[in-house]
Amino acid sequence: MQDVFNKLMDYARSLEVDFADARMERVEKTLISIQDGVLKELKAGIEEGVAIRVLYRGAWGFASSSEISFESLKKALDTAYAAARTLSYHVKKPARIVELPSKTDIVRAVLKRDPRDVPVDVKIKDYLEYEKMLRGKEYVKSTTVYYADIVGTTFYASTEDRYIEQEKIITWMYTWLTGRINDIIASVRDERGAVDGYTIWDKWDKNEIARKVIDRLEKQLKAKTPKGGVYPAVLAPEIVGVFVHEAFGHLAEADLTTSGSAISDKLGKEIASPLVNIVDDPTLPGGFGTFKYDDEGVETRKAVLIEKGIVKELMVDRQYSVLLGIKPTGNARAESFKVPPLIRMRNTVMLPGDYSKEELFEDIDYGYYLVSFRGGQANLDGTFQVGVQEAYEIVNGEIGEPVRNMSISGNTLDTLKEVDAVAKDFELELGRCGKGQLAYVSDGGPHIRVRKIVIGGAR
Amino acid sequence: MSASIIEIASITVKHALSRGADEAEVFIVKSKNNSVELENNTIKLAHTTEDRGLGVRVLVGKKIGFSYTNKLDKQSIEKTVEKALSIARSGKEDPYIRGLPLPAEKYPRVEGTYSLEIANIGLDDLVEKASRMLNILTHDKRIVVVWGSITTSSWNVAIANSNGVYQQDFGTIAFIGAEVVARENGDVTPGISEWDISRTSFPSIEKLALRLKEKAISNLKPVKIDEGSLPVILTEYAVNSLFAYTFIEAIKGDNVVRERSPYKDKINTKVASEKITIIDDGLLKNGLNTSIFDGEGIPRRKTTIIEQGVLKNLIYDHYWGLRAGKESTGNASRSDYASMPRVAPSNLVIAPGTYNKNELLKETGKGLLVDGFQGAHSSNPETGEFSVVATPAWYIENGELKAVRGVMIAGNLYKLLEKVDALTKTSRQVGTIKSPWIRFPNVRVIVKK
Repeated sequence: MQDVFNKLMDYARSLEVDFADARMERVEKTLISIQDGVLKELKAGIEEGVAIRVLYRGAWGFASSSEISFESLKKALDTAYAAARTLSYHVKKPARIVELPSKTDIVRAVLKRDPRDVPVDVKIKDYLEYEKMLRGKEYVKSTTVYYADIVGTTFYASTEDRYIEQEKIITWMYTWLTGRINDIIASVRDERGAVDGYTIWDKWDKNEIARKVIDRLEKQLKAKTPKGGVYPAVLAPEIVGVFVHEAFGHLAEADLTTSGSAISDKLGKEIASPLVNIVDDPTLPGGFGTFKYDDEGVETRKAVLIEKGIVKELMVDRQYSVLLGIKPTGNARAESFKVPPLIRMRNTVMLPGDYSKEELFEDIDYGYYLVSFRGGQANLDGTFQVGVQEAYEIVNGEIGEPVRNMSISGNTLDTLKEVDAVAKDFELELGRCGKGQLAYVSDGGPHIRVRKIVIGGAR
Repeated sequence: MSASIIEIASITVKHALSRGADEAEVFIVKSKNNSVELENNTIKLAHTTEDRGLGVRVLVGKKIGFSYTNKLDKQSIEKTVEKALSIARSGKEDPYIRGLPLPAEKYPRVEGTYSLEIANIGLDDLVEKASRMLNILTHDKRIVVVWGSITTSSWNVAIANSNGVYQQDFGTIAFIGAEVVARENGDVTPGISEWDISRTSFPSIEKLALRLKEKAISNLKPVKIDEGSLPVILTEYAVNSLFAYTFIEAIKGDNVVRERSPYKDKINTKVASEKITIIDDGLLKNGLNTSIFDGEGIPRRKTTIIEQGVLKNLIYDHYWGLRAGKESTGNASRSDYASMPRVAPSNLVIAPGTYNKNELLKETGKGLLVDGFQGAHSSNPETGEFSVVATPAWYIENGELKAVRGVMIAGNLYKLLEKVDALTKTSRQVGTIKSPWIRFPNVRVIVKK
């Protein structure tokens, strides 16, 4: 690939572009879906293609091609160049990007067991076995289990003489369980994955996950609904993760910050309790967002978003790096070769503190312990909502009865100020994020206590 | 590649049979997109992408396999067929499989699905339109354009199967839209969006930009309101957001068969206010998802879901139709060539009511107007329970609108549908659902103190 790319970049330079890059991807996916004991979908396929970007007089053009011969790439580059030229007449604020030194690097995935070496019938057998364990109880009415492995290699080249090959391999599983007792219907989800190959069943025991999910469902069926209102709460790592990602993380994506997100004027300012430290760290072992180079061929590094309550920096791509004077963080990611990269999170986590997990509960007379989420979303103005699928009352410092159908909401910045204890434990969750494009990300953190949070729930 | 995609589909079906498939289906999409994107008050990027690919579904006995490729040369296609066959053979029988669909005797004529104007528009025209949209929006210094897009797509899809399905269709679509925030004296609105979608002509940039600007400015200067129960009016955007994760899931035949829907065994019973009539209309003129056939080559059609409050039908694809002892309603949907068909509505049309918007606002007295939700995807599709942030939203007081922030509403959509007491006479399609504004008389409103 390197030879074709070299020739292509020579051609790009001959057009006197400010910058151009090419990103070829080859992605092989396998998907298994099981519904109620039936192997419903079995899919395997390959997609391959190239994304080309041209920056000409401060204007960006983009094109993609599913053919990878030099002639097809040249045609795509011409298309991107023409688009950039057209746009250049209308651009008032020319785009500038950070330029990087020339470099060649090849990064291979480190695997314990390559998913390509595991026959599909073995995968099917494993997941059918797991799915069966979900169906033991009478109140379980329906099950859905997905398994996917995605084996991708990215080949990147730019007019800076950079050439980078990087392998990314993930395995992912998702469980959705619906149950009914009399008139009460409830459903719960579970999502997990691995980056070292076909290792999900080495990390977790099938029976144990199944039991956990069934137990969660049973509580959702039998529990009472929460009282709406403002209460203190202890948030478990999974909830902290979704909060850090959805409620805060998106506000610190430089494109959204610049558009006027709730922290647009808060750089260098204290917005959270001094106990709060949040980073987006592409080096965390085992994270879906762990990689050496992003989709603009930029070396990734840890972005320190909040340090002791103060907003330190934002997540940037090549362009926002220059615009905001922030050293490149390597946060540009694209869902596929069909689309240009956007600023996306990687592994976004709150760092652990000093408290023991037990201490967090001690001072709460009445509040809630939030363990697992169903979904979360936030707005640029800093309001957020997280649906909770596993939660308990806290009564006189003790974890009490489970509650069902709960959600939390509020203003992110207000909530970050209300964090008054951060425990020393830590968990990383693997999941997906949608910002127009899908990205595999991780988030997590320790247990934390929040003095006040809005508890909503359908009665 | 000189053969048309329908010919390639048909040849590939024959090839799959010759390689040992008992039945085979090939779906091919070829598409072209032109797009200009806005970000942070600038035109960020212009792009042109062409995509094409093939998905092949094979049956070996009662075992199913699916594979796809984005290369349409003979060798890649043959490899894809082998892959589909090999994974099918390593799979497990699905006892419910009764083969692929048969071709219909007659396929519908659809109107308003293709426009030469949209198909032929150049990227330079789109850049000019984007520039105009940006100028109108940012002419008011209080407005920041967070994101915007002017996009056109045109496509050709073809499907063939071993039972004789042999169909193709062409389509175009134009999308213009943006999300903005308005700022004034330290007050910042949440992200506020508007978009227009058309299959047949290019939507007006001016109309969209002015509408969006007005909406954003009117969301400045929020007032505080008290918690309690209020009448809530959902706009077409809010309806699309909330129904997507509740009502739409409830009418899907697969969810009904799998006991994941409250509408199981409810045919011919009253499930909504008699003001509610909802039709799945796969033939809707200028409809977003209108086409000749669905993702399995079955003709699109009109299916009445709710008629004056009474549940009449649900939607099925071939497989789930058979499992329910019914026929497909032409509701197999594929998001692209790499995806297997799944049950989904085409254009869900909620019949309009009698009010004009101003009348409705006036008559409501005190209430809430909601244009979008945060967290709608955390709703519970099985029960209809939701607890979401209403944003953007306005407090209605004697026909006047005042912005409100951080307001949550909670309830049960299926129960609320029984209580709908007013709908506007105008409706728009901004997603799968073509909807008027809908009023629910009593919804729990939670406000952070």
